[in-house]
Amino acid sequence: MASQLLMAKSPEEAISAKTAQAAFLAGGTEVNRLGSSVDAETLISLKKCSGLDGIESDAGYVTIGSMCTFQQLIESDKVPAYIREAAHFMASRTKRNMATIGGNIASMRRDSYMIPALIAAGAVLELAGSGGSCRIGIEEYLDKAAEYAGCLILSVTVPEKIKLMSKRYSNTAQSHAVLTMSAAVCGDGIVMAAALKNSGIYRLMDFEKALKADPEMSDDDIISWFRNWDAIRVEADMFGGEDYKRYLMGVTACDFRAGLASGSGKEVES
Amino acid sequence: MINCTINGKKRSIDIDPVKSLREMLLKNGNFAVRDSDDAEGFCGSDTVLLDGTPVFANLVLAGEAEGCEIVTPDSLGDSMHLTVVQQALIDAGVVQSAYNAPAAALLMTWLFDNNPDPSREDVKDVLSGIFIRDAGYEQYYLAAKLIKEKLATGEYKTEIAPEFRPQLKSVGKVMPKVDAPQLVSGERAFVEDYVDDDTCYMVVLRSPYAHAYVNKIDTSKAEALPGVIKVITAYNCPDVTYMSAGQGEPEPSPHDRRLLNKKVRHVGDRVAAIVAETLEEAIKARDLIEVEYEPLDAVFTVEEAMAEGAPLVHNGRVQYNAGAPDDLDEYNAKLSGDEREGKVVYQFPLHGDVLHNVAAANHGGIGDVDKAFEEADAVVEATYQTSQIQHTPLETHICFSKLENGRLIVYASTQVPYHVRRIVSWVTGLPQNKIHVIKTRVGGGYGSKQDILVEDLTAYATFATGRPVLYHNTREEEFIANSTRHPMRVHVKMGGKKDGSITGIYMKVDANTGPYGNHALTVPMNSCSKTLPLFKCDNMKYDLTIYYTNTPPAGAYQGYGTPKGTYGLMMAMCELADKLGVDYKEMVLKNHVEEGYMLEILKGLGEGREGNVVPVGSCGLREAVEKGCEMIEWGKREESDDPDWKIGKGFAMIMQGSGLPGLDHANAIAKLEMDGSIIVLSGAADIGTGLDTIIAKVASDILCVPVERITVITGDTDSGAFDTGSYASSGTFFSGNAAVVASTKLKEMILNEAALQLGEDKDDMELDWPGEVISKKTGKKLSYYEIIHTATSGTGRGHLIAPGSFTTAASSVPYGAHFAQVAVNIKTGEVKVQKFYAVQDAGTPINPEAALCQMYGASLKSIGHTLYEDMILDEDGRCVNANMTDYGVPMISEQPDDFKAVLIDVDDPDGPFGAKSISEIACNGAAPAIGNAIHDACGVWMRSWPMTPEKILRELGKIK
Repeated sequence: MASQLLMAKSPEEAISAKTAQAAFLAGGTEVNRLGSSVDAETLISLKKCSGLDGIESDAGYVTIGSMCTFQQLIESDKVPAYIREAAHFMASRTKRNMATIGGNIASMRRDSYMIPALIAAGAVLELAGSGGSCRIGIEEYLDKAAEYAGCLILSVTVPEKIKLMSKRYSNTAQSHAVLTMSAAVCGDGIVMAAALKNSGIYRLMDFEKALKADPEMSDDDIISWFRNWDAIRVEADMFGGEDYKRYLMGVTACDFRAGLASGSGKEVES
Repeated sequence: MINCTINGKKRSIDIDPVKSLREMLLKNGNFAVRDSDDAEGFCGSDTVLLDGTPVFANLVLAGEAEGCEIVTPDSLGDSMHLTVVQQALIDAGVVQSAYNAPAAALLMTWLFDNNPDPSREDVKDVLSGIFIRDAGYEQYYLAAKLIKEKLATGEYKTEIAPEFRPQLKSVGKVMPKVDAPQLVSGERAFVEDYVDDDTCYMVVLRSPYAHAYVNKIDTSKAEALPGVIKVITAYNCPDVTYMSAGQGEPEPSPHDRRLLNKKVRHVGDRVAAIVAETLEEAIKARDLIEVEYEPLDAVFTVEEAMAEGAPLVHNGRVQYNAGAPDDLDEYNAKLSGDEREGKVVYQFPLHGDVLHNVAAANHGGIGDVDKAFEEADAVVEATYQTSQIQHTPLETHICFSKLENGRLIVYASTQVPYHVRRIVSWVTGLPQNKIHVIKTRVGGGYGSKQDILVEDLTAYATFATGRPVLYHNTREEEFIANSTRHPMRVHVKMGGKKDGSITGIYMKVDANTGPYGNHALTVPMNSCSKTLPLFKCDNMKYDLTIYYTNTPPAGAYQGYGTPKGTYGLMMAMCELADKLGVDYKEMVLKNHVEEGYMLEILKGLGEGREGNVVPVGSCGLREAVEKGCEMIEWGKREESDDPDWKIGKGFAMIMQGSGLPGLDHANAIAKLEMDGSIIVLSGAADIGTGLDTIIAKVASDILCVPVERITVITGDTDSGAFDTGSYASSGTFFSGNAAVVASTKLKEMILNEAALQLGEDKDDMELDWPGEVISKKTGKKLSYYEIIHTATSGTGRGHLIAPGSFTTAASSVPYGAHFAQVAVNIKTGEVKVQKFYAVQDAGTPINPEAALCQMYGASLKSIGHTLYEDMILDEDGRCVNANMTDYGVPMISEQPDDFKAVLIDVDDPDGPFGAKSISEIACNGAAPAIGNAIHDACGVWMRSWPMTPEKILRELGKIK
């Protein structure tokens, strides 16, 4: 348990207080929850931090302040439908009132509600750290997690118009997801991402390539592809057996391919 | 110092800013901001408004509340000044065990403050962060409607519930539950609300091993810590062998445990109890205890337990207090006799055999099943597996005890106050007059509080230290150290003729009781005794074996073994109908029992003794089946627009009991008070289901006094009279009937006294509303005030006090049928319960609105059991999903879109004013109804619950 709380009033103040023994505290649903993996001496609360809760739309992109709660995302007309759908995956309204988009990204949970959709949408993060600020793609942020661990997420930028589908599988609406997947049309191909519980968060680039190479792959072939995909480690656990999880990824990929081809993406609603 | 505004008042609270907002609010006296999940952000008991937005107070730090405005549930209205929202929740019947009722009231208030015309989706959304286990969510929609109407027009327009028995004024009428104002307003109600400031805290060191000897415990470092009062271990606790089941004495459960044992038998078993002046000190001391374990091989399933040469969970001496077998010495010689094993003491033979890990067994039947199967046109045979399930009451197990003038005072959240007193008496050696058990309101029991799981140790800690002691389970401890639903393997063989008649039924039930035998016989017994009597069949046989294992303990759970037996039997019947080519509904109608049918099968199904063979009494089963089939349009095939989703329908007939005839016993005392009002002292234990209200209503109609003039005091072992407790659906039938007896006796006393005072014959006297006696002969009247005033004057004949005792051999059986329409995604295995209809014969529903809520609550709970609830153990016997999120319980998102509860009007001759039990039976139908519907949808028989998408995909051949 932390021994100190700092209420940062600005991003600069938050960043200057960030040390290896300190952690940023956003909505609190992750850091303050039972069994949290965050162990810090000092918590830097961002609740009263200025400039992190705006939602702006400009030139086909929406920039969302990192302290925007899931509920604010749902209630904003500016936020694309696919982001609102991902926010709705968090079934508890009370929790949505607290959880923030920045917190959800930074916690990098393997049952993340939001990250697969953000990967598929090609989200860009604006980060600020002791060395200054930068804009990077969410995939890079995830790939270089250690490098960016001291950085504060200021905002998330996503395209307004994109065909994107998401699907979340869990025992109950409030349970942790065994699998959350998203896919979006990108150029003449599909970008696909998955958060697989107890395995990892993946941009499914290998599959994207396979599909590009053989756009006529049958559904059975797609399911087989995921069954045989050895680049990721999938183990049986309380969320299901290995074959179940791989099958689920495969069958979901089939649905996405068909859905995006038929125009089922969320772009229309945004 | 945190400066903020709480409920409109500016406050400065001295608290460490890294403590939670909830802790700060508790310090401020807002105790109705409760905790059900140890800051998991799941149950919503800690909901408050922070700057106008609902949040979980456990997940906000106190320091973050600086300068904020906070609103807590206790700010709405007190029990004498309820708000429209609070009153509507009460009137809709949703304020039951009510641990989360204040939080729900706050959320609904917030909803209407921000949106005076909320839609059903808005209500669903606002309640999505709150867990309601008792009443389900359907009637919250009704409450919202009532609020809307009341705010708009000043009155309700919608009928709350059907009413019954027009000749009566209180029974069968919609009327607020008597304890609801206290509960919804967040007044002191639960054990945690009565804890004294100087109370010590107790925590328990629990076993990391599923099976091990505790060879040595070094507590010296722990005891050396300042603030530590005592460490209790197997080596300094009383050598008393007992068990935790709150059942009639002598219990049909083996006595096989002490307060702490020298052998641990499951992960989470008690190793040491630490009492310290603060919780932090107790936890710190716990971490300093050094234990030397000698791990042993363990067994986790009935298959492992029954295997030749399996490790023995109990390998000590066996004793019998009655009926010992002749070869007991020889038998005991085969056991290890290791002193660390302790002993197993049977009060009478239960066919246990610890040498084969058998805690209890029973076998019996009627007719000739082998011949019946030979004569059948078709026979089905299948095994149905059920999982281990946690009750998940919102209020985790808790006990507060203290000494007062040489007596042990025990505040307990229990279903069985008198059994708590008896077991505390055994453990401490104190006579029962030196122990006062006060049952507070109970924040959810569902059977788990029929076991004495924390009161024994807490009370002993006070007895041993002289200090007030509080013990409160964490949510994880609820999973690993409580009772749970027995996992069972139900094997059914059923034969039938082409005309749909069933020729024979065989059930083989293997149940897993875990490490201890509390309820070992009775719970699994219900899988046969509350299912086979549904069938008009001359050939039935059962073999029931209950095994000890090293899983977390099993025990009583709402429905006992009935949901599992019903699952097996009704699934098998559907399979048989399918095989015979007979419509399942027609087969049900052809084979179910009817009034007057003699239930010979019951002879062997008593709880540890011969059962009563009785004819079927009042029975609304056929009407329930017909009504439900009409509602769900049985036989009409539904098609989805999406070819991946297949729709199917299923149903199951169900039954339960209304207490245990010949075993249960209830008492009540009715008193006419000095102003003519009534007090009823009852031994009953209202666990939120409205039993106090039932008692008040029956007294009201017998004594012609409005319910407002009747106070019911229950659950207090000093002021009441013995009652076996609230379990086995006994409350309404037994405690209600005891109130009938006491009230009827008081009525006679009032009539006698009035006759004496008027100088007339008693036969000319009759009671009249509201609380007076009128002479049919002279027309003279005496009010109850006048009668009691004269009776208690210096020359009167004294206070009018009437005791009532109720026992019976009669059995009032509730019947019903539950119906499901499901959609199954044949690509992903997902299941949606689109429709669920619970149609039940509960006799006269004394509290009709509460009855409906209990049907909704139990049905939703059992939908959860059927589809996802499952305690998962790893290879070492450790529960890997011992929290609410990973375990998964149905919340408002999981509720069927079309959910209906329907009461069939049946007037039972033996129940109080014709009433039977209502709630427990509603746990029995979901699994077979949904299982059969899944088959109807996609052709697979789901023979294992929970029926997860993964299992469905496997059955469909989609995955390995």
